[in-house]
Amino acid sequence: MPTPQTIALAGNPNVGKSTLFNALTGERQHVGNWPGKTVEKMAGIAQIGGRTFTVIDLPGTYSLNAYSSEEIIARDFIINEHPSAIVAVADAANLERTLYLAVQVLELGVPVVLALNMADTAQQRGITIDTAALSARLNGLPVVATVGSRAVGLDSLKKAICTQTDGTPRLLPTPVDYGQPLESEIAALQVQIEADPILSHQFRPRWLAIKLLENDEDLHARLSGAGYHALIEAARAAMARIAAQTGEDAETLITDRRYQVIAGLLRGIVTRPDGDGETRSDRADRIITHPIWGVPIFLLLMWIVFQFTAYVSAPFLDWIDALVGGPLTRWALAALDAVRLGDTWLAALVVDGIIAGVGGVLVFVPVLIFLYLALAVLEDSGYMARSAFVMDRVMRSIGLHGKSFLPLIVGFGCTVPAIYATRTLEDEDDRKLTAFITTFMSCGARLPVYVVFGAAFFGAKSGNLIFGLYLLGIVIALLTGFAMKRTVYRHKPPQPFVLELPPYHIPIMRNVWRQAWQRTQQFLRNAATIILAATIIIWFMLALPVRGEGTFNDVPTGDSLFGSVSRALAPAFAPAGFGSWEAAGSLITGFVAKEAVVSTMSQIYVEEVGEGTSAEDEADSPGFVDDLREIARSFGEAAILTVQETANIAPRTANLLPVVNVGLGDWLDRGEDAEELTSLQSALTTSFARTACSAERGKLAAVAFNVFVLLYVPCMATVAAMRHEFGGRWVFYQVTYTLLVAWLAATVVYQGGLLLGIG
Amino acid sequence: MTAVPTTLRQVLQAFEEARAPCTLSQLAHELDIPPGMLEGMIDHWVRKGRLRETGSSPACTTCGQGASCPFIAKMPRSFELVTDDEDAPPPCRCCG
Repeated sequence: MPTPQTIALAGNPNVGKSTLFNALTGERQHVGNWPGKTVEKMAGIAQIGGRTFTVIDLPGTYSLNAYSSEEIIARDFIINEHPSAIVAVADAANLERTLYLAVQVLELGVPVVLALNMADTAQQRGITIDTAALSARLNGLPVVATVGSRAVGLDSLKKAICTQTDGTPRLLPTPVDYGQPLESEIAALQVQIEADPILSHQFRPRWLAIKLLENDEDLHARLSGAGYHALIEAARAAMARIAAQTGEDAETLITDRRYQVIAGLLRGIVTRPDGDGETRSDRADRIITHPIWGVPIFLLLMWIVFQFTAYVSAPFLDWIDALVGGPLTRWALAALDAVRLGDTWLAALVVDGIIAGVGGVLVFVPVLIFLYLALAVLEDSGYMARSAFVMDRVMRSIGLHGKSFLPLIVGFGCTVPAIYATRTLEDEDDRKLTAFITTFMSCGARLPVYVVFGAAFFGAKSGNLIFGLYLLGIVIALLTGFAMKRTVYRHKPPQPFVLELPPYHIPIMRNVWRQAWQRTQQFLRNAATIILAATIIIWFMLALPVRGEGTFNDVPTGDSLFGSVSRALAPAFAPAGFGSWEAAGSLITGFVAKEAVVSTMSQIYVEEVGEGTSAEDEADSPGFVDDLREIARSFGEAAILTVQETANIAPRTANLLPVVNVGLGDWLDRGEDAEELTSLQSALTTSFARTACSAERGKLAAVAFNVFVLLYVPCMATVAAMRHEFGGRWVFYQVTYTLLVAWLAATVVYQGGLLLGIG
Repeated sequence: MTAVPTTLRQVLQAFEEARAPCTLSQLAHELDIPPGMLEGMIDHWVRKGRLRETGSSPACTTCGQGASCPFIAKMPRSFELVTDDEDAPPPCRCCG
């Protein structure tokens, strides 16, 4: 049986090389590692034209220079293993870039088949390629259009492989003419190499001469180690002469010439629908990333995101709230009764602690899902990447880089990865400053607080409160950056940058959902760990009496350990209008994690107003089947309302214009009922009004409270991330500064509001 | 010495002379080069240390999800000039 011939697939990463490999070899594959490397080696067997071939999938590389281990592997394989042919795989939709490797492969003098893969993508983009003309320009080299994923063009590819490996001598494509003085130097080195039988046997002399002039470190080291010092010296002298004559290094001249050759090869062969070189994305960007219109468009999109989040999530928020506060609590009590624990402190811990606390946070899962869905749509459509570009002018005005805005955008989700995202900034001062201001971007965990207060105090206008708070976070971040760039850090003008923007496309709902769900899972993980632990600790602190005559689990919350600690802190917040121990206590736990603010409020506020499931309630409570029926009915209602609120986004946006007043849909004819408050929201309006002495002042104090939540230290995890990245002293400055800013801003909001006659 | 004008040099000069950020597509249009080719040319200068690429997703070590962290959006790649007077890059605190 004859030894199988070997063919290798070479190409850039992401050109579909592996799908072509799979299409050629089918199931007959072997996966291993390249000798001495951790790079995966894929080999397979293919039957082509009645002959057996070993097919090697070379690592994806952009060139055959020695810049990475993948490039060295690919190059060494071609040089040392002498494959019968190379299938150079190029991306048909991006030939200008991906032909560079093919040109280098051609210089090695091995038989080549050029596969223009992903031809379907090129076709979708309206790109046409005259493969026959390209083949003619390459001296008859086989050029085949393929779609590896659907085995399109596979027969032609196999036929071309057979032709190139049948042993018939073929005309090689004309070598790249590098012009003078390079060609003279290549020729001189070539003579030296050809004079050495070992070298000329191992390498194609012209190729080696070019590589030596390209200052290929790997080859220089190998030849130097093998004693070819004279050749290395000759190459260095040639490089010096070229630089002296042209003012440019040889490597740059060679690379530039290859690109010129590619441009010449493709001239008149590749045609694009956008003849002027401007794509639809480019045209859209003329408006969307416009220096003047870009920022208002960004703000409008953000406004829509928060309207969407607040209103579309509300029906399911109410549904889960009713589920947690009603059936779930009843079922838990019934289960505890069944095991004779119904009248013990354990029942109180489960119902008033865990269900009230963790359940109080889980109620906001729909809010988070809809926020992350909206952000994922912006990301997947390609818009979010443009925000850095749009905001560059604003960031530049405070002395920061437009790229600093990207970590800030990440901060809308979670502050911790946003701090790590600052690693993309090269300048250490910019990095520290960006991380410093990132904490003012409102993360997802703070959103439930705004939603609770927004619905409780602002009803139908809660979306505006949420948008206003997010905007305030950005403004405070920018002001802080502005001040610090002029005080702590010397003002260095930021470097202009070139941003690679993805083309706009319609978001793929599967990707959008996966991203949103992954982010929401993080929130759920926090609820199951940090928030659960926090609620248990808070419950015990609320059950332990430290004054008055109460006993364990039978003490007015104000007389409990938690109440006493919080009471000590409360006066500090009096100037901001929320000097109650309940508000202060919620802010303490919010230092651990912002989700804990709502869980703590669920534990203490609802208890304060005497909410809970009494024995009489239990007697009147519906049965299990009735509960299930009601859950199903209310779920259906929530689903309808969610669709309704989604449809209402357009009229709400239109109503931003002063002359427009479009009516909103009310499909279930709920009218005023739509604004029903949850038990926590009712408790909050009562408590804040009582603390501030009037309902209007209570509203003002509620805004001040939200401003404080927005601006003070996000959570312990953020503190740990800051310490990890910048050290303990930096954390001290950060915590002190955020607390100070939060307190000042909250006080200004409340006192300023009073001065303006609000309340 | 006769300076040989190369497209690669024009690309680098565009970075050196830039006063405001631009997109890869805008720069390609300005230099009359296909965007794919410009990308390859920028990579040449990145390899030679004259330009710097930033923007690939940075690893966050807090919750062990690393590069798969769902909060790290796919940050776009960007390129900027490496100036002679730059500070040394920040040390990586992950691995000391």
